[in-house]
Amino acid sequence: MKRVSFATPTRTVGLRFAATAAIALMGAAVFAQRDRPDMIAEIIGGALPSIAITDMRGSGGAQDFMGTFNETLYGEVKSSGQLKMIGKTFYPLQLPQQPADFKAPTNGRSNGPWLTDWSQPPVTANYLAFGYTAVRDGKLVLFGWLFNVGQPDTASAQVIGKLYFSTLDETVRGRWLANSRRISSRSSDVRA
Amino acid sequence: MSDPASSLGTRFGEYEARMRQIIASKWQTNDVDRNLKTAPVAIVTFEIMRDGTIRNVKLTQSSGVFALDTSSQRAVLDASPLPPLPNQFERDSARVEILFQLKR
Repeated sequence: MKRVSFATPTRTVGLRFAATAAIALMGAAVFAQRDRPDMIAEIIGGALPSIAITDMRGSGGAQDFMGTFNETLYGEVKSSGQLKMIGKTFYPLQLPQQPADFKAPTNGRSNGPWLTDWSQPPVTANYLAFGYTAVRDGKLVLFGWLFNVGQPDTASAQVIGKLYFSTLDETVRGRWLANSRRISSRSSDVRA
Repeated sequence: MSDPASSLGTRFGEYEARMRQIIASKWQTNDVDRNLKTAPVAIVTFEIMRDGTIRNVKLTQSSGVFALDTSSQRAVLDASPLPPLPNQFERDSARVEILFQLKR
């Protein structure tokens, strides 16, 4: 039986063109796939870093000064305009006084205060200032810490951890304020 | 079995979040004109090697602000090394694109 070919010259050219185009498209698709990023992320920056400042407590005679101390510290950092203050209303009920107060969660279960209590809503702070004071040998000693609460553990979170010795005057507050202001040099904010 | 073509960010959200956090913490915008409230995004692409080392950092889209472009690339470079890629990620390196957006 005679076979009939439908491959006219025009049709042959058309088929060749179609085949070439298909191969080219497949190649382009493979190329595009290879060049496609595995991850695309957006980072929003330039906003003022936010800070939460806990009311610090004092042991013994130091407690008498803490009301004024806390009020002044909060007010002065706020008035510096270099940090966004997180309202105390949002703070967790358990306030850390020292790094040892932080307890890492295990298997997603809370064991006590943790960094994410401060880094996540409703607080959503970048930094946390906390500490306590005591009177020793007639001097006020401030044990102060500044944590970057976006870090995964307390060791890497610590930005400042210092003892400040002073008479019961403005000096302690002034030094603490100066250190707090240092973090304003780093301003970044992340949006998911 | 996971799809090798699916994105690192979708499959390993925790890794992506950590990477983003590290790079964001390195991004210094102090040298960018204080009066500048916003600017077009600067897009930086790079590769994360299996061990977390960052390579081939490139500015693929300029924001039009030199300081912003430079600070974006610097943030990525300073973030190296990142944590190693997740074991489940099939390839030896991952391509990443970061959009840096200034918003004050």
